[in-house]
Amino acid sequence: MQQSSISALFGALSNETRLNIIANNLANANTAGYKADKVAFQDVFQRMASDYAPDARNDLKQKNLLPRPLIVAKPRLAEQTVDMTQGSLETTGNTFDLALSGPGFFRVQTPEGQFLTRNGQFYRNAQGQLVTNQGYPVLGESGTINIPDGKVVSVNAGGQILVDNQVVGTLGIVDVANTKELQKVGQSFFTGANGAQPATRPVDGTRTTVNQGFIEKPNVEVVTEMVGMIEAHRSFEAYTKIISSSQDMDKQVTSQVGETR
Amino acid sequence: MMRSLYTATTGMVAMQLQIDTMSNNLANVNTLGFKKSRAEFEDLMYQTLNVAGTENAGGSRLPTGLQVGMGVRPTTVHKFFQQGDFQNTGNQLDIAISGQGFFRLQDPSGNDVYSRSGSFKLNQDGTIVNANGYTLQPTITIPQQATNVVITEKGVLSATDNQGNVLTTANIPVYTFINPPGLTALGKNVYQISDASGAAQELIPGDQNAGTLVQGFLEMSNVQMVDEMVGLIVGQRAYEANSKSISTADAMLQTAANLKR
Repeated sequence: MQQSSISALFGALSNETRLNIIANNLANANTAGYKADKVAFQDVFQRMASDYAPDARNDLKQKNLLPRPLIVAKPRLAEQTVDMTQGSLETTGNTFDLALSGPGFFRVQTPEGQFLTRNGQFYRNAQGQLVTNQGYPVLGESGTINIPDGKVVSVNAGGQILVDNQVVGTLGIVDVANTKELQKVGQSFFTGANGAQPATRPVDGTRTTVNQGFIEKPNVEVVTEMVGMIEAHRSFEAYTKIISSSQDMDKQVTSQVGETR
Repeated sequence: MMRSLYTATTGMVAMQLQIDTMSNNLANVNTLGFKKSRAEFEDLMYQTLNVAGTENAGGSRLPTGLQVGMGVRPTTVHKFFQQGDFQNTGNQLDIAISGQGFFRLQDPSGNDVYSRSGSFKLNQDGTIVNANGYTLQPTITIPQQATNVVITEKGVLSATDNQGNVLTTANIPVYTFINPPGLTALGKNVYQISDASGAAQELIPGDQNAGTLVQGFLEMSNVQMVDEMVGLIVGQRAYEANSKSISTADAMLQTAANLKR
């Protein structure tokens, strides 16, 4: 059967996955600390065995009956990367809303191990621990952070937590050497490739600051996503057109070419 | 079927919650002592199609994986206990708390509840009660011949008659919690202790981190109309974007279905 319909099928499937990723970005258009996913496509070059066959022509006048396609390109999804650009900061005025500007992540201890997050909507739980909104403790430079009751709780740009001007702990903010290897695990958490701990290094204090009373909005650009959606939709349509055209051609082949007159 | 249909559904449901929360804030824009809420979200789980770091056919390792997210889910509706505006009423039994803390009240079934709304009245026995008839704790009874009630910043109440003789004195304490957003809102302007809020700590107003009392003032709701309006717009637009994902996925499915004629 026609190679083109198989190629187009690959293309259509890739665009379906692309739409799924766009839908997820849009669904998270209001999720604090969410980072948008981006997709890239690649061609898969397929070379036929016959391409390597020695040319049987020994005479210039001998011609091939049909030009053979040497290379068939099938688009497929190559990679999905997390767009780590800074999201805009929204002021909330809440004491425990912390947003990072610049690279870096907060560390969170969960029953499944340590995770990284950019979502700084934290709380002080009944035991006085600083926790995420799922109740997992946020890690400081030396383990979990306990914030005693006090009149004024402030967090400075370096991540030090002060209660009535006494330092009670420092947030354990880390930078990831290669953010491309980060994987999302849901709940706004990131982990390294294959769930391993990613290689981290201390943050550069001149580039990364902690902002108290702010939350980091997702970096989803709704317009870009909409355009991506139109693109995915239209190319899906184009691929299905290819499938139906090659179907028509196959039909003609079976009905007309084989016809005895 | 397409994942994006379900992904976008979770987005629409989440944005619905955002609008619901904002609507409740707007409905209570004039409720005394009302504290606004904010819905918080997190991304759902991810389906990993390609694991980052796996070896590909060419023998090199994939630098990034391919993950498709499954949408969004609401995590919490966070109450903000920021100070509301003060309104001068001149009424002797209107008390506002400037700073942290709550009044303790007893509901008709004898449970302790906490409130920021300081619009107090006297019942038929001369006991200080709130607008719903819940008695202020500890119970204070003002003698009938009292004409003047003075409440100091520190919560000392003294009732005097028209000759200036002190008839009764009492102390009004305030109660603080380590995690006020953990309180359970019961409606009617009152809250109940939960495991998340921590136990109530009784303090003399002005001590430690407790707020001071201000007589003749009421604390208004801390809802900012503009914030809520912007929140409504953001929620509505995100809702629309998600509905676009659904219609695009639907159109793509229709195209696919029309392939076979």
